[in-house]
Amino acid sequence: MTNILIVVVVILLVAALVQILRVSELLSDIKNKDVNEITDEDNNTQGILFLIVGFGFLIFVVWQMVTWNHLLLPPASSVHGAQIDTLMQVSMGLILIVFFVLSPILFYFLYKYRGKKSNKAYFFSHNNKLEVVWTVVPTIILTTLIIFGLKTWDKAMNVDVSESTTIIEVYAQQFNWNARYSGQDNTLGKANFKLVKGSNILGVDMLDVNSSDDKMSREVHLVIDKPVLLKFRSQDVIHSAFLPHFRVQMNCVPGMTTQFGFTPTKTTAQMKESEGDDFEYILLCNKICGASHYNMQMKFIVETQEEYDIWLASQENLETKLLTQK
Amino acid sequence: MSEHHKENFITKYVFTMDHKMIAKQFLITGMFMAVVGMLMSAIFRVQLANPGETSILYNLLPGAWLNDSGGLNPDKYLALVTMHGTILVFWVLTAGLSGTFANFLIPLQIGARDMASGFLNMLSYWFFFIATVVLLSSLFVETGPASGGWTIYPPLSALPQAIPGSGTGMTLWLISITLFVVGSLLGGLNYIVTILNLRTIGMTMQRLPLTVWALLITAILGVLSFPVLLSCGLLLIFDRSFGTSFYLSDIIINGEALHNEGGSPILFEHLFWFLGHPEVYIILLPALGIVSEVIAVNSRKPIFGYKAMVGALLLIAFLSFIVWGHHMFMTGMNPFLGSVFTFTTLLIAIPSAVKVFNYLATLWRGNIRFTPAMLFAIGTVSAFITGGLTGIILGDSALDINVHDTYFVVGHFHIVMGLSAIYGMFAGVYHWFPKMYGRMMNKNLGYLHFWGTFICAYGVFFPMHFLGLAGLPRRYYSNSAFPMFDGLSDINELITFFALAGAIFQVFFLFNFFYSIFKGTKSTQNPWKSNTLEWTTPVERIHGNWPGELPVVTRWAYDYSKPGADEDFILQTEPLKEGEIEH
Amino acid sequence: MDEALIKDHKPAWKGGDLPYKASYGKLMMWFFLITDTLTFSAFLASYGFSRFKYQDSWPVPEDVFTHFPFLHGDHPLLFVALMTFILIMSSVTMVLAVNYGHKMQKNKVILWLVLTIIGGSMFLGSQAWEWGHFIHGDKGAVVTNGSSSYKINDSLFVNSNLAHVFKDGKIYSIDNLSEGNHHDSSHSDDIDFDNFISIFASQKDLDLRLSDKTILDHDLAVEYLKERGLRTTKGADLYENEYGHTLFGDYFFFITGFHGFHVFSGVVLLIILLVNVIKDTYAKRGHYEMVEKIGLYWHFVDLVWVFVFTFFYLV
Repeated sequence: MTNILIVVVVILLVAALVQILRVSELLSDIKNKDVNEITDEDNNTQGILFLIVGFGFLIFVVWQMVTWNHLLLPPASSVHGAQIDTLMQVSMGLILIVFFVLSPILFYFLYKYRGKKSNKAYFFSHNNKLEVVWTVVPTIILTTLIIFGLKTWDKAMNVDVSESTTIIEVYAQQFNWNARYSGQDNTLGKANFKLVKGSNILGVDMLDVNSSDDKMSREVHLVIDKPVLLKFRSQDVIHSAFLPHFRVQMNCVPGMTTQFGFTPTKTTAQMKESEGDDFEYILLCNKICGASHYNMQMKFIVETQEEYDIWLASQENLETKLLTQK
Repeated sequence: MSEHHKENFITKYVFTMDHKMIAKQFLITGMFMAVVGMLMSAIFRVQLANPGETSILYNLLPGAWLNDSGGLNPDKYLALVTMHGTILVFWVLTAGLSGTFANFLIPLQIGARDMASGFLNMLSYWFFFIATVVLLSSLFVETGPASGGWTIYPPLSALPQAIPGSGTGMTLWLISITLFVVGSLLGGLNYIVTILNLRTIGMTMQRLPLTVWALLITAILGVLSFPVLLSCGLLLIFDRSFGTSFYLSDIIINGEALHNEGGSPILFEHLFWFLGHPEVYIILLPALGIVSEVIAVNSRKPIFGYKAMVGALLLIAFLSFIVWGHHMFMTGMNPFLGSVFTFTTLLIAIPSAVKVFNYLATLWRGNIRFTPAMLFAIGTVSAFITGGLTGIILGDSALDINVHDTYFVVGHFHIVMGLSAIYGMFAGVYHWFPKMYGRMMNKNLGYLHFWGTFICAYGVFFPMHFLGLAGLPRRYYSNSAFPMFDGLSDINELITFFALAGAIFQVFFLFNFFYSIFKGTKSTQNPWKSNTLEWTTPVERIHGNWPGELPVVTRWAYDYSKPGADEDFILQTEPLKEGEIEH
Repeated sequence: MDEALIKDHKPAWKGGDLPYKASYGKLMMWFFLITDTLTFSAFLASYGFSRFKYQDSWPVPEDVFTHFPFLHGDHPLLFVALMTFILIMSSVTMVLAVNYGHKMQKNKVILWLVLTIIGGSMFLGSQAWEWGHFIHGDKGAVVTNGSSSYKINDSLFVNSNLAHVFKDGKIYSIDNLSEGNHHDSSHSDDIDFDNFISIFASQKDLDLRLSDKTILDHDLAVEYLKERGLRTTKGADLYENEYGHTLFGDYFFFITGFHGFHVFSGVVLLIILLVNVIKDTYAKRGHYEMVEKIGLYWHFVDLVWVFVFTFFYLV
């Protein structure tokens, strides 16, 4: 019933529009004017509109920045993340300056040079010097930005795996995450998808000597200021491990192992103080992976060495787990 | 080539070989698909504003797509997002934009009777039409249409067990896109060869309007990049249906281990984005070409820096082939590669900036006439500034770490494609409507359409940058699963409001367009007082374009307000006066 | 036309002329060939990507393509060299056909077109024969469990999905290790594997070569077969092949198949062309440009084969 009503309303609206148009055309005919000719009056109105709406848009942008600033992610909780944040601030600053210079120029020009029949435009077809200037200046600015960016990228990507780096595997599947700690030897046991069976969700090769001290977990605990190297695998489709608070993201691709290393710099407790009691570090999936892509999460907790040791000790070795569970 | 023959409805409107009619076929099909794509976005925007609840708009969907309480199923949300992207990127912004304006403008602006091969041109539309039918048929399949994102990464797009839409729906998608690519290539071949061989006497490359340059370069981009999509798709077809392992390896799905070993989804991404990146310039360049023309004509000034503009187009086209990796920064590929792609991506900002500066310089000291076409052309420039600048953030690999696949990206590409390029398309329609149909579109409805769209569109897409910087991923059915996103629901509601309002403003355009075809005031010979050749053809339009001899060109396309001239425009066919120097 | 109006422009680009001195049809064929080049390049690049990733377990083409019709024994790459020669010769005959077309000599055009068609068809037939033998298989292989590493000794761990029986430094046919079982099927699941292992164990001069080219001496090989052997395999399909990595078979079929499809369509076009030449279509038209255009396509198909041959068989 509602559908029929909607259709009727639409038809009536269209009919109304037709009539309005016919009337305006007839009126212009009477006045002997072309209804669609662009008059000086039109140019004036549109020019003013550009000034108003244009600057209104810029004010809207500022309003958004002010109003929604508190919703943005808090400052990074990792070493490389802090560098990324600095680069982001510089880059944003730069593009905002350009945006707030070019856009007003555009809107102002539209107002200032709005057409009048009595005016004549200035025949100015090219100026090579100008072209050089506005090619070279952006080149210099962008090159500087690139160099800065590449340095930051290098620091984020090239992980120095030292003795103290904890290696943890994060395994993605439709639609949950599992973590595997590498244990005392800090080496993950080999794994293969053909070995996935029962509780051995990750297909760990239990014959590999390195697997004996591996531990599985449904949440990840990290020690503050201690580097960690996350190794990612996937069981089925491409997923992506996204840890926004740490500025970490890496695709999990079936058939290969990817990795991302970082050092957390703020504990969960510290973050709860500044961000509110219900704050949690969270891992989300960030590559379309199926129906529940929007709800694939795992908790990350950053804590002190002592708290971590207690927690890790309470986790069962994978070997034991597989022996007791069939 | 253009003898008058007895025409019936079929030869005139259906199996036509006249480039002007084929252009309109592309336009109408493109517009129809735009409405379909836009309705899809209205539906999923409603879901995002009120997650899990039902809506009157869902009446448009097959019943199987909804759950018992009338809410949208999550996998069908992904189906909508996928089809929206596919339809808008390929059907509307590639075929609808290039197909329409390349077909319509190239012969007219270079002084040719028609395309080099009218027959192949007709075929290019019919391949496109059949591709459209196949794609739309996938909406009615029981398991639903393709649902792996318009980027269809395997294994998700290869395995029906991973998401239902990757079954028959995805097969139909692949068939459709194969037909689409064939049609595009046929068209592109025609455009290039026509521009090379069929320019009229005096129409040197330096006298070509920028629109034609842009369409030529776009066609070359297409010819070089679409074949790789074809290859990419063929390998995927084999993985899906014949058991090969090009992209698949080490997979357990629904408890079953698949036999595939050795394949790499990253290979797919490389092949896909090798087309995917040039594709966005295939979308953008024709829009910029149209905008160059519309701004010059309506500022009554030459486009500033013609040679620099051509150079910028060429540089953008060249660079577009070596930046594809910026879509893949987070795939785990070698970080050195990431650095290379960051470098090339930030380079491509330079010719883009040069174009913007040249547009501003064109407006400076102009005598601006605000036709609806001009309004949209300016909208393109504004959106290109806004959207282009955020590209600098995304192109920087280190910054991409935290914004990749978030709403920041969604905001960026919608502003550059959904605003910039679509505004270019609107500008083209408003500007060349008199030439296409011999009538004028209503000016006031045009103004209404522009301002409503301009305001609402920025209202939809600008806030998305904040969602992205807050960490909200794209292609999420709902943000209600994560407490950290609870504060973002107000923004989502605001975006949906502007989206629905913006959709309504398009009704004015559609109405204006169709009403004016039949009842618009009749157009004069050269309503915009433009220099280019298309305005020297009769208003009623004939096969072969010019009734007598082909025009002879004596000057470039931009003698507007030239000192010493009687009027503020000089047709390209006007011989040089005594003592007049050609620009 | 007033030349003074066109300053600084190359004359052919002034409009109203053909800048590349080629008709629109010829230009279109050139541009179409460019698109096809990119399609094949994408496939060859993908092939390179995959082969580089699995270079250890990629078979050596000389070991695989050893058959020659009617001859016994191993003749590495001889047949494919002959195929290449035939295709190149057909390009030569095509050039001659085009040449005589320029001279409007219809009968000579017919002669050389017929020879080209014969050459193309011989290539297709040869390719079909090659496929047949590839699918049927040669010496067979053993499928092994490579899901985890296998310890050979303290310093050597191997991980292999496929192994070949080796004797005197060459692959030895698994047919010799099965009593009375001559398998034509691809996967040979019907072969008694335990029996196979015991025959292997009894022939002390047999070794096993793993997919990463490690060679296991007889005793170690027997251990390995007992621990990790799954079954034998013969022949090739898109899922598995006896020569090496799955992708070797996948790419072989796909790339040579796609190329073969182009040769086939080329032959069809040539036949249509021949019919038209005989019917005087081009004589009446006044030029044999269509022969030239199809000639371009034929040379392209030939050139692609040179690249496929180089990257697939030689490198």
